Amino acid sequence: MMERSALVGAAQDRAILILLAAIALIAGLVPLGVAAGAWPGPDLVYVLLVAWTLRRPGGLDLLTLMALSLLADLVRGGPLGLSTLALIGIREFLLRAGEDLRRGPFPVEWAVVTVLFAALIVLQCVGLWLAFSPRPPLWMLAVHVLLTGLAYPPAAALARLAPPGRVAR
Amino acid sequence: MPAGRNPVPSLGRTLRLVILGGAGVVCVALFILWRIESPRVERVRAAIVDRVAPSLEWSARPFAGIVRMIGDFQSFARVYDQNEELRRDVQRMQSWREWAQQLEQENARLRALNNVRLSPRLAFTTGEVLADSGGPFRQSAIVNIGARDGVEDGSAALDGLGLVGRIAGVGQTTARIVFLTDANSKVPVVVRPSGRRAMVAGDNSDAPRLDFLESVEGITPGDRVVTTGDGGIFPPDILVGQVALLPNGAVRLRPAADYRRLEFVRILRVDPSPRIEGPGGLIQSGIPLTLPGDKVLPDPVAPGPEGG
Repeated sequence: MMERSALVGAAQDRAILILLAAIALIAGLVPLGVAAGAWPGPDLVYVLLVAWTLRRPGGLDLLTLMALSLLADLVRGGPLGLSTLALIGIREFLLRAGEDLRRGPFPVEWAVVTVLFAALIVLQCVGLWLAFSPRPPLWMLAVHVLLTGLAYPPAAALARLAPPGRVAR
Repeated sequence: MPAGRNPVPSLGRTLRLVILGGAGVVCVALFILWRIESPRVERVRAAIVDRVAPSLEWSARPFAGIVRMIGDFQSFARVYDQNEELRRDVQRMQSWREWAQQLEQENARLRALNNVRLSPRLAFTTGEVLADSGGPFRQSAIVNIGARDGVEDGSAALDGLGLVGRIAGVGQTTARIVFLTDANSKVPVVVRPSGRRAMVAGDNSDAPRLDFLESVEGITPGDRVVTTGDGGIFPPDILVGQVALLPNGAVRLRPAADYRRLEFVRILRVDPSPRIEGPGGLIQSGIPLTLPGDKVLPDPVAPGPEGG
């Protein structure tokens, strides 16, 4: 019955992530900073997805990542698809470098996650620039990246604390 | 790639690369589709927001309420001062109300003299703001009224005072408002009283630009800016805001709508008055006209098979 319990564990893992991502998405949508001059909030869905990829024993499968990221894009109303593309790349990178990051000190992991988010934003801006689309001002993006970086430690703790569905390999 | 480590590309590895490449292509294709502003993308988006909206309603609203209460609590300390201030305001407003009533009566008299017909087909539906865009890439909000309530793409959205934005994306029970401050928003306006025309173009800042203004002559800070109704998207004469002149000579708009306290939004429903475009049906070429002597007279005004 080893196969079966692993399968159930993976499903449970995914269900927890989907629930948390839904909460994060809705929390990000709360109409508080409606005004244009207001600070953009952190991207809570991103930190959850990355924390899951990095810190869950089984990692995060491609399909769930794409589905959640596209859903977030669609509900938020911004450019579609580019952040998902960046997240696929980030997931590949983390699958290769994740072991070193987990073994190293946490601040390094934290910094890497923040830099990766900055790269995601840069990719989005380049895409918008190539498509002759208007882009948000730089300070707004900088605040967005910083706040998202600040939101990572709680998400990482959550990925640790949530009941593990799978046994560590 | 060092050849010694992986001499023969295994099937699993190739498959993995193919899957990754496929996922990447899907993402890029979605982006291109979005950029072309395919209405289909917007429809999918509206349908998904429709699904999400109920959970937004019971989760986001209490949360927003709590945060607002904290903000209000901070102003508790000044409650006495505020009371005094409000009392003074009420007194001032009473005199204003008198004046407004007098003006209203005068207006009614003048209108009766003039026999003016003021766009009788203008109606509005009021909705509550459920969510903002949750990111820096779009200045928009989701309201809890949609196609079911008669909201249409392109309708004007107002708060109590002025124009907030336009509707872009309508679901059954939700709709998305793109604010004036969004970088994709362009609204033709006219500056009163000078009558100069301009375009309000958002750039993600608090105060949108006033583009295509021929000259700033005769324009002073504080001038009213209203919609022109050009393009047939918005009805004319909706208050948009006031002119603000920056020290460096740039002209910007201070929106009349209060985005910081945006809770309820009115969506205008306009049934535009029929326009006369081209020749009328009777003298239209191609329709066989029969002489009065004949029995059958084709009715050019009769609706087609679609029923109009």
